[in-house]
Amino acid sequence: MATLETARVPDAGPGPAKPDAKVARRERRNWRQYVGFTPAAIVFGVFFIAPLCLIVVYSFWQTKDYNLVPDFTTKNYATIATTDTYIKTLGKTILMALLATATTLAIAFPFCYWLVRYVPPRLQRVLFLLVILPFWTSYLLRVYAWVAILGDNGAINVLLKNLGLTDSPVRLFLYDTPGVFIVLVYLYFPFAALTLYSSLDRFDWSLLRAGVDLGASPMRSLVTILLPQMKLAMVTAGIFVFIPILGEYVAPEIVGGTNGVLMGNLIANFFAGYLLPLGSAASVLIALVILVLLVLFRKGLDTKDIYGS
Amino acid sequence: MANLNNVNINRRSLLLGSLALGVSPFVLSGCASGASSSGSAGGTVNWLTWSDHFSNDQLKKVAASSKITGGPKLFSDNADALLQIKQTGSQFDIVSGDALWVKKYRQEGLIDPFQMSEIAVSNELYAEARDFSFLKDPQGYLGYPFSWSSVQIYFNPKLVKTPPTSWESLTDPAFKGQIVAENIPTDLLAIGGLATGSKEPYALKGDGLTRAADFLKALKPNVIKLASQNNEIISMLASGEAAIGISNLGTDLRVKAAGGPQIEAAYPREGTIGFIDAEMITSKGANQKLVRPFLNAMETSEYIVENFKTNGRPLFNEKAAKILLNDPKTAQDAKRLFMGNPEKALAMTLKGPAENQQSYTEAFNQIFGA
Repeated sequence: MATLETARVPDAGPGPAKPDAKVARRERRNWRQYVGFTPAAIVFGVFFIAPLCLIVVYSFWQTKDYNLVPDFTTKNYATIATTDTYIKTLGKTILMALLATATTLAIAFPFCYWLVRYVPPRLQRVLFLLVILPFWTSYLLRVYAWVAILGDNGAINVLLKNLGLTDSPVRLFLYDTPGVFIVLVYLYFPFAALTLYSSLDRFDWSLLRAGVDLGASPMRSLVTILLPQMKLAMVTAGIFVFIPILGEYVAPEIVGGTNGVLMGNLIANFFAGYLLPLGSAASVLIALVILVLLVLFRKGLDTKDIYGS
Repeated sequence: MANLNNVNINRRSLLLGSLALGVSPFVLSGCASGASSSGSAGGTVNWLTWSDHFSNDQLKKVAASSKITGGPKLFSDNADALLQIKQTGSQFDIVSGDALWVKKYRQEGLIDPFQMSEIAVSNELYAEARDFSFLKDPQGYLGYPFSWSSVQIYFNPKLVKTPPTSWESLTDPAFKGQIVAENIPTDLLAIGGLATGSKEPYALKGDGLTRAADFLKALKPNVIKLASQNNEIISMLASGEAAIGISNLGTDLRVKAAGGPQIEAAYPREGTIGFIDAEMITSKGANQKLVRPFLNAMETSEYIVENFKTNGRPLFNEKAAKILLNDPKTAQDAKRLFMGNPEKALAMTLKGPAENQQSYTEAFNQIFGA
């Protein structure tokens, strides 16, 4: 590295430069190389770091008569940590996120595998377009579409009625926790599929054939050759799905009814009721859960999984 | 067109270009807002309000006649609106609020008083409406009265065998999964307060708050959904997904208009909460000069009549009430929905801020959490 830097230093003129001037010039150059990051740093700082800091600060303040009072307190965290309902709701939210993520991956992986392995390239693109097509419509529309599908007068109930299987609408899913689960899996499936597809598309399938040639069963080849190489893609897809689900409140509000409430809904109520500190404390706790899980995910990966061997 | 291959981009020009691109939206938006607020002839009035305070057609007509364009942004809960006005400074020029919330805005220094005479169309209002004590201040009026309604029970007689007669009766297990209400924690706890005998449902404390919370706990299994907007209540009652709704006057008309069944109102014996909506002029609004002419154009009887026909709940414009009551097509509904009885607005427990908002929201969240 030192050699490279020395090579790039233009000739400072006749005679050797003084050591102090050299150091100063190098420091100036070191500082300048970060200037290019300034726009990104500003955007990141203004739109991410500053709001996050604000939320953390608010979480230690209090609300008195609809006014934020900057009196330091840890009571907001204590309230969340000692109230059964909040703990249960946080637990339910994490469980929901885990189950929805696992289900999304379990559906997305075989789908992408089939797409990459068995579908002709031209049809592959068409089918994959269908997967990402929902991205072109509004999030709210996609959620409300499920009300139309699962509702009393929705597609499923109309079908059941026309088939003579039921006289009155069946309320198996809508306005309850299973409805939220179905909608979340649907909403985040494209995130997982996009990530897994790009990874599977670059996989060298001759490795699987080599495994089979060497005597491994197709399933063993899949488990010992393909899956380890898909580890990074699976983790990335998992993160893409898991994190936004932890903060979800619109889908539970629309299809969850009073039984499908997640932590995001309680936070929305806190904010709507002007309890910014309590809402902020709950948000910080969710952010901490995400941070801990990201660290665990990261530790579960070898360096070569991330940077390549 | 220049040959792109010949374009020489170095780091300095790239950075300068990026900076220019980054700054341009701010410059453009600054020019746009300047254009909207400058000039006495017209501009934009930013309005934090509910969806039933205007129609898009009305805004277009007012913009054409007065050169003032209304820019509405919707909210659902009064506390949410108060928070937005506090945090946004000059962004909003008008904010709508319920009854006793108006005083709260004034206490917080968020609104300016005005003289009714400055809004000529106010002479179309009922005299009672110009005399509401909670809308007045020694320095003038704090809010321009718009509409009012009590919040009561509506039920579908085909789906409900025993009609509810009280708030308490809604906890009957026979109504499991049949009720829809708006997700407004303060108001639902206030209803709990009325159901459990409180005389001041927005000032619940200690045992009173516990009793109201216990009522909501008993009610929860019967509530299929807490709606974010009133129109969700209408659609669920219209589709039959909910058999009972806790909603404003005129819900029956709106359900019918949405293609739903005939539903009936039940006035709980414990009393009702209710709102008296008013438009307030914010203290820091950037387009304050436009607010009075805008309200003058928006509140004329012509538009109020249309508003009643669309939203079906009483409004305070006397001239509009006379038109509606004299028209055979609308007379029955106008009479049934008290267009001619503004004095009834004061018979309800008026909506207002909770004395201890934290306790209300926490109690609500603890009930409706997992």
